[in-house]
Amino acid sequence: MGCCYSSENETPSQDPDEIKPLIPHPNPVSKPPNGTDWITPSVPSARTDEQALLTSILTKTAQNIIDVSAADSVMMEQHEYMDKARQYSTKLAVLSTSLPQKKPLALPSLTSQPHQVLASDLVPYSDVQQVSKIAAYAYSAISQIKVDAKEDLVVQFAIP
Amino acid sequence: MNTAALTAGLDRIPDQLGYLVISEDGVLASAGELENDEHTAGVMMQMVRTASRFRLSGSTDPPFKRMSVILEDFVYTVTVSGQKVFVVKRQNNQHEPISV
Repeated sequence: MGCCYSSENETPSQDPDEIKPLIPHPNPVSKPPNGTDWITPSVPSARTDEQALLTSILTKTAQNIIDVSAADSVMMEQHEYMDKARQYSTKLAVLSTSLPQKKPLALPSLTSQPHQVLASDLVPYSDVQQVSKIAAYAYSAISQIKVDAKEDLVVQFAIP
Repeated sequence: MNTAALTAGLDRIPDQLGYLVISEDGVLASAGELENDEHTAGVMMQMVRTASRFRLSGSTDPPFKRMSVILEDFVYTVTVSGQKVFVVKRQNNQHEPISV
């Protein structure tokens, strides 16, 4: 799960009707400039830096997530819905035939001296131990992340 | 570049137990414990292809020169040069220091 690719560039060739959002964004706040972190307005002095960081992450996430079930239901006629579906599938069909086949990425050269690099001293055991310990800590931390499911994740659009 | 030029020097690497030279088309040369080991070649190719996609922030080049797959008794050292992947299996003489 997650975003594989995103772009802020506007493609001029796109029909504005194609890219019109189906759900109005409930929190129309602009992004902070230069990608800087969103600063939480008031951080109680009693909190540690970690708490403040966690709060800012939560706030940023809440502002960026669109809650489909909470948004005003889109009032669309049945024929409008069918038209939109047809428009999207036509566009997809056009795009899938015109997209170039993805070629496997060429391996970048790591060195011009392969023999020297391969003959060099092996990684010291202490380094390997340290990295293994760090990886174990990270694994332990990640395995403690849990999803607290409260509501349905998938909801229906309200189509009359 | 002929095969001899590619492999010359690989067999002189200290503690080496075998090597592979692999291109996009397949194994170009192999020796020692890695002789004809197409399976290992395939695995190493996939690993180094994945690893060479990593980037440290702000950099366009892969952040490493050599990939080491460290097992208990031996180490696979892998690098890429001129569209070819070099794999050398070496003895792992780095162990837990023994306190007497």
